[in-house]
Amino acid sequence: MINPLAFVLVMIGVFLNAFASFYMKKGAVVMNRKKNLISKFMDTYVILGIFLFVLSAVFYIGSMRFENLSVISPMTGIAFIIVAFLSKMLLKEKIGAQKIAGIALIIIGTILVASF
Amino acid sequence: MSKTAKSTKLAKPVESVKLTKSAKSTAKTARSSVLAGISFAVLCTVFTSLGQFFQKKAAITITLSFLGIITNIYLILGFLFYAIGMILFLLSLRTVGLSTAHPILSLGFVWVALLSIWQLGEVLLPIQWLGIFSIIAGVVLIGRSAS
Repeated sequence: MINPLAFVLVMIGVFLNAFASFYMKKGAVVMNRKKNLISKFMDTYVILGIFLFVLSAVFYIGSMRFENLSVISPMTGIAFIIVAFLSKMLLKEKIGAQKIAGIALIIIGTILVASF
Repeated sequence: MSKTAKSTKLAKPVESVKLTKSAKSTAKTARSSVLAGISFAVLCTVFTSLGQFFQKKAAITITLSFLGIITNIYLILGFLFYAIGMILFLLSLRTVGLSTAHPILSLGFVWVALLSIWQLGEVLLPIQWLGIFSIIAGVVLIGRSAS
């Protein structure tokens, strides 16, 4: 079974990671409208997204001190549920049956890899 | 879109060619941009999983002092590969939705598992292999739903 401290650290990392992806998407949309290469990357959303990604990586590294990588890595799959909700609620993306099935298979897969 | 294309046409002729091209966006180019987005996401997973692999190496080898942290080559490599992965993820998000690009990132688990077995001597049970194949099947479904 997973080390409890590693579990807490990886869960914090997962939330930070989900919001990082969300802000990266917002940044990517803005990016398409900017001409200058530097201003493309100096966008507030992009910087916030990158910052959250780095922060989540710090939590992941912390958790890896207490648990094997092959356990920690699939745990990060919880972010897929959070991101699916964020895409539907906040970005109004269409999530059809095929996409839900795909996400379900991914989550089943991560559980199978993580809990044995 | 057409308004911005018009205004840039006055300022920069080269830029306007690119914009009117994307403004046309026939079914064929829309499909190829989705494929490009998916490809960027897949490539991103290769880099982020290499990044994670180096982070694990860093977690094992790191000495907890300021100099020990900033000079750990695995930590530097870990963040470098992660950064390249992030740029690829951004490029992917320019053409496909977050609900498409993000689940594709789970492919990283597959690379990480293979790297853990090959380089770190970790062992996977048959049921864990089933999990790996389930992830791959899920990613295929996500890709199909987008294109």
